[in-house]
Amino acid sequence: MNKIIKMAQVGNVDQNADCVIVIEPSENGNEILLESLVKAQYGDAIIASAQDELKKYDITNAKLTITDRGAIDCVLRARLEAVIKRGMGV
Amino acid sequence: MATKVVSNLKEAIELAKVTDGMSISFHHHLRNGDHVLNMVMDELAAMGVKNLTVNASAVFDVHAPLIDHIKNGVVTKLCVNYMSKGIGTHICKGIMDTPVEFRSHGQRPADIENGRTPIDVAFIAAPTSDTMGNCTGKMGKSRFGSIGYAMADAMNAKTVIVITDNLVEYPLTCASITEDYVDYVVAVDEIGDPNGIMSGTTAQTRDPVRLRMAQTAVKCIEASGLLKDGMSFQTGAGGATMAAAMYLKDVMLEKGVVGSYIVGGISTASVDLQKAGCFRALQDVQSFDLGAAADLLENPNHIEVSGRRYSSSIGKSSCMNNLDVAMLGATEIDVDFNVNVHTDSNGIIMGGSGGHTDIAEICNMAVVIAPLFRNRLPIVLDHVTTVSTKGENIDVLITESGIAVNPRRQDLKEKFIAAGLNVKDIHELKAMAEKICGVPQPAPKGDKIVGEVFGHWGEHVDYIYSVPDKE
Repeated sequence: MNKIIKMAQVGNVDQNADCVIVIEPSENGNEILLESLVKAQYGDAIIASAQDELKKYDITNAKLTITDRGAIDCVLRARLEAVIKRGMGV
Repeated sequence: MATKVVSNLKEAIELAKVTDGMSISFHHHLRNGDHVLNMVMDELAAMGVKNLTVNASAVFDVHAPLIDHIKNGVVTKLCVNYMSKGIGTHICKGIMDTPVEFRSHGQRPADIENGRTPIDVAFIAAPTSDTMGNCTGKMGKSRFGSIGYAMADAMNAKTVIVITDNLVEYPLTCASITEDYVDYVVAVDEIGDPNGIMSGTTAQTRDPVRLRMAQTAVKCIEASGLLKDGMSFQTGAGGATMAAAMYLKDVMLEKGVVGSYIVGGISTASVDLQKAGCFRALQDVQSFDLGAAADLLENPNHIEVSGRRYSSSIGKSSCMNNLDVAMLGATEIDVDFNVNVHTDSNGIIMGGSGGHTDIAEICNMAVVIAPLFRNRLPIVLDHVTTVSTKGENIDVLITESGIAVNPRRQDLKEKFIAAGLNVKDIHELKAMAEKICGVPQPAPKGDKIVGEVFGHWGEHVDYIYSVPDKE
């Protein structure tokens, strides 16, 4: 099992079609907070991608805060991968 | 010497005898820099007038104080052609009992004239006026160029009040609205904030997606057979449509084609085309930037037209009757080519038809330019959130990944294919976007009607519904 050991951040705050993701260690298992321009249309899909990426890296102690401005799934997953690795200290 | 100048706004309103239940009107050439609507509404609220209908050609975020006037019962009905999101968000919460009436730029003057939406008192924001009410938008520190949308108000309202921040001696020799329509003139310090009225210059887009769509648009015009002497053209202020004007200039100069006119909101890009000899004239109902406003004053081939002459069905003809090609925008388009420019994908009001509906209804080739998706939201849907312009009037959709032609226009489709253009079925474009973005879930819709959309002929087109509060 891999651990998130520190806080990390990726992404662009002021850019449409991108997102900002903050990761930090959590004591209550994985938690995902989502704010998105397209929450009604893609909220479930974004959460599913986040859970999927956490699972891929075998992470169970991450608090993810995603502020999405309409990133397509491949962008979102690239950001997730980067933030998870940074949080793991890789 | 006679004068219509009164000492202040309050006096003008008292003389005009604005009472409960009346209909008052405003025009939007000062856009998000407008001070006039707010100063008039604050005065009316202070005087205790209630139950007013506000008929404004457009309302912008700067008009946010309107929300309190609605909540306090000063305003109980709105008629607009466009509403920005800051106001639309409140309207979509269902704060009004009467739905907002949305018209096109052409239908607004028609309904004012035919008595469907009569105006009791019109407030005309004028960057320059003389003491008898001869006024214009072409000069003065708050100049905005064409005052076209206010002309129906001036000609049909029972009482007309001109509000200016540049009062000049009688007679003003270049008046756009003339004294025979005006009752009172009020001088104030500032009718608007120049920073909100217009952008100084409109920067050319560098976005490769937009540039590609613009190039494709010009290829479509060429392939359509409409690119010949006498062609007329309409373009909006968006990045892709402006870029299309730039590419069109190159092609027209290369081929030596001289078009007849550009109509609509006129920008510096339109002025450049006319100055380069590509078009003989500019017909201007609204000047988008300072370059266009300056040219309107100086250039005899750049003419100011009223909203009625621009695109109304009530006149004997309009600038639309001879219009060949128009470049239009879209927030959403559906597989039947219906276009939404009123609401965003969550159903929140953030726009309006403006001229969109009029243009599409009449012009020979109505082209919508829009990227395949924006911020993950596919542009092509099964059903648009709100129908602004009916699909039967849209001929072509241009995206960066292909061109869809309305099945009603087989003639165009054949010409585009013969020219080697990348023609696709509109369902195919939808599928391409969904492959990248995923299929969007529909946004929750409220059950209160908060707006009604009317078309070019005044017909009902669609309703706009409230948006439920977020959890």
